[in-house]
Amino acid sequence: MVVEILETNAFGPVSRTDLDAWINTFRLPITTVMDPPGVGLRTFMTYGIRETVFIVDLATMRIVRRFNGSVAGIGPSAIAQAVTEVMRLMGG
Amino acid sequence: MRLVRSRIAAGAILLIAAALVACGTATVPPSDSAGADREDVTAAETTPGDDVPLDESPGDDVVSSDVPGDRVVAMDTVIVDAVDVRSMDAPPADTTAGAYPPGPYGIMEGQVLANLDWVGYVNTAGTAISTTLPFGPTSLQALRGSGRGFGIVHVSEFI
Repeated sequence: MVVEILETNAFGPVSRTDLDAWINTFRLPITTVMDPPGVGLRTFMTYGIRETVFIVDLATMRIVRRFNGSVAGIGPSAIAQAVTEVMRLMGG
Repeated sequence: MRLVRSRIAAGAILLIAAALVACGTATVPPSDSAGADREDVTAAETTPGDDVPLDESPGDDVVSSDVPGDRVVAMDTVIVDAVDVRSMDAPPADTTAGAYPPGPYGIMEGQVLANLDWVGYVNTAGTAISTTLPFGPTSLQALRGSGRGFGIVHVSEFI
């Protein structure tokens, strides 16, 4: 399971137009979602700031590893680190 | 067991041979539009059962077994080709995870990630750009699938 959550638009709520632009810009072939209307910045308030990746054990939903990439866009991204770790966890 | 089967087989062959000889040489053309050279049905066999004596009971023509009825007979070992059991009918596997684990929830390693619901594009195949798929509601629980393996949850921001 891979989920991409577009949680904010410049620290404001995300619209469907924003979501579509996000997907089309990066041609994302993965599940990509946003908060539903009326709940504000729920994901941001619950999961934290951007460029964070959680690797979860789907059986228990416990966070196995957490990676924080740079909000300045410097250095390896959180997702790049996470993919390597997931491959290791799966015995790759 | 093999000796009994051999006797039965031999008896059956003798019966068939006797039936063929006893029915004479007269033949009739087949009625199933087969070639004229296939005149293998004799005149005496045009009606099913004609070759069976009226006073014969079922099993009368079967050679009786030489194995006493109170003995346990070992079955022959039957060897079959290995089959792919995945092709056999089997109960469908459980493809849904159980209820979402209870809290407390958090975002640190070792803690349980909270179940949130969202709207967007569910793309499990990964073969198409997600905007080409239907837009609709989903949740972390729904995305768990079978509950096996690991999941990656990435939060991002549009700037």
